[in-house]
Amino acid sequence: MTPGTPAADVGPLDLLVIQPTPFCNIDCTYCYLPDRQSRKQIAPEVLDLVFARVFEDGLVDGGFTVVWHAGEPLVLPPRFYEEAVELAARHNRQGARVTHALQTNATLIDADWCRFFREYRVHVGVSVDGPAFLHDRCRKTRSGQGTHARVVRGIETLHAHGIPFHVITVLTRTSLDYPDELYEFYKQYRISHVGLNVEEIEGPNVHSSLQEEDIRERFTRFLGRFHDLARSPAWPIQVRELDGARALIAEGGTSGPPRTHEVTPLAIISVDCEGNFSTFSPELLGLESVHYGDFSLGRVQDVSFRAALAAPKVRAIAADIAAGLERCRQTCAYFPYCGGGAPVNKYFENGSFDSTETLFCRLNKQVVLDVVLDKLERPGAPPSVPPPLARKAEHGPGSRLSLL
Amino acid sequence: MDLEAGYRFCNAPRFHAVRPWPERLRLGTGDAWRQPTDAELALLVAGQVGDDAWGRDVCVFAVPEHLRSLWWELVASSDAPPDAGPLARAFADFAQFKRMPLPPRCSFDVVLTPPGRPAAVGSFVAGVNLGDERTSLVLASPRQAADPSCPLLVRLDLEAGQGAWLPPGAVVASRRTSDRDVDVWLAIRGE
Repeated sequence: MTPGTPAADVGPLDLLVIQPTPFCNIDCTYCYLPDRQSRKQIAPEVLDLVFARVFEDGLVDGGFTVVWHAGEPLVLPPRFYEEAVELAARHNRQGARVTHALQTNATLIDADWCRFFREYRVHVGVSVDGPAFLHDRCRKTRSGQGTHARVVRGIETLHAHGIPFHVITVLTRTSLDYPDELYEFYKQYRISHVGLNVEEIEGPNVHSSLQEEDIRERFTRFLGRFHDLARSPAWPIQVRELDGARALIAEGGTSGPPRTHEVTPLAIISVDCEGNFSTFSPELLGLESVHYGDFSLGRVQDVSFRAALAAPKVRAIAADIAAGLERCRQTCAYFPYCGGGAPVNKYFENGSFDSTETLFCRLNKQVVLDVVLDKLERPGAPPSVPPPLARKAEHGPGSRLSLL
Repeated sequence: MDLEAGYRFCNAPRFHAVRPWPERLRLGTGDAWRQPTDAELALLVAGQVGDDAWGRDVCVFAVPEHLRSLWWELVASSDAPPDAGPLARAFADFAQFKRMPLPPRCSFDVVLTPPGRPAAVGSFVAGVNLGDERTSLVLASPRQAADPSCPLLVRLDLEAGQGAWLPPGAVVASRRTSDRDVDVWLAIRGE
């Protein structure tokens, strides 16, 4: 293998998720992250090793993104990240394109943060679940208070300083009744890039409000309506899931199924504040498993990323993920457009990586693709799902105007 | 004031409350109005309801701003009184998504009332305030006063974008409009 180039079935690194601290200043009800009250912080020498390993292991091909996450990143000061960015740059002798990103609850954003975001060209993601009546149901402080007002203050601060950002919204069962209200919220706060995460079953979050019998139909109706709203010329919104599906359809599967980073060893590396690291789904790090003990592959202080792949536990995890991927390939009609389901969802929903369909993929992949296809085939029509009330509504010709 | 059984007021299923009930309801005789007491609110207002509330209670809802704005865009795009068809279709789509029980055949009337003029009432299944100012529905109380010679009235205040879906038994005595701006009322009637 030529130094500096990834092996055929490993990497290249696309996403490096680093946990600067497990601590979060709020306490969302659906959060899967453990130890959110811990104030531990990643040590500079551990961070140094992380970047050293990344480049020494020959995992970089072109570029990758560093995502600061898995605790609220802004509880540490901008100076921490400035030093981290500079540290990464010192190790980047090959001149790879390294993008830094963080996902924040936005409650701590101020002018100094905006300065940092601008100077270091940080990609900012804000977690907000829509208008207050939706957001504050789940995204609360530890004393049970809503956080919406603080979040929108952070959003307005970003706008005031001209900092672009995208939003991630977690959809719960309640959210599905409110596509218009969600759209109005995004429009009101000039949010034009949105990712819609379904409430997932992961780790300590052993139940999702979306685990209901009628959820596919409800999600289809929600997404169909939101699709149309997001294409309104008044305030168009780029929706990650819908745009991604559209791109896949346009591409027509000519290049084979998309490369799924979550099933490719070392395409995603997650590192916690103590130097423990894992690969595949980022959510796996820190979670426990009756089959594997935990999902940590080792510590950066002890072993390189690439060398860790040789350990029996890692081989077992990789083999089970690969087996599950093959089952998806053999059995799922959506595989050409999906490329294989997220391992963490398979494990925590089905009890095994060697499994197939999950709630996550039914909603996040199948319904998304179905809705986009439906819209392309029948523009202007409602999604092809039987309405819950079998009632034929005729609304004409009586659209009259009366003046008094 | 003695309130007995009858329909109640509620937030429509799949809609959230924009304002608390004490701010939306008033009791009176038509000349003088007061805020309901806690006991009266307990009788007048239903808690969280299911789809059986449609047709049983006065279900208060709110249309999204883009729907309300559509009316004003139609007005701005035409010198003559605009065709309310696009608004009707957009509302029907919205209502279908929200599973509001639109009659199989219905008409949509946009009623404009200049400021200071009395508003026409008529019968309707549902109405929406498309204007910028508050409008109020004055209904005969669902609950009879102890003295039938003094009928109790309930005033439901609807801000911009808010609407009410009425049960068959609800009697709208009048509609109070703003003195400051034209009142724009979307009335949905079954045919």
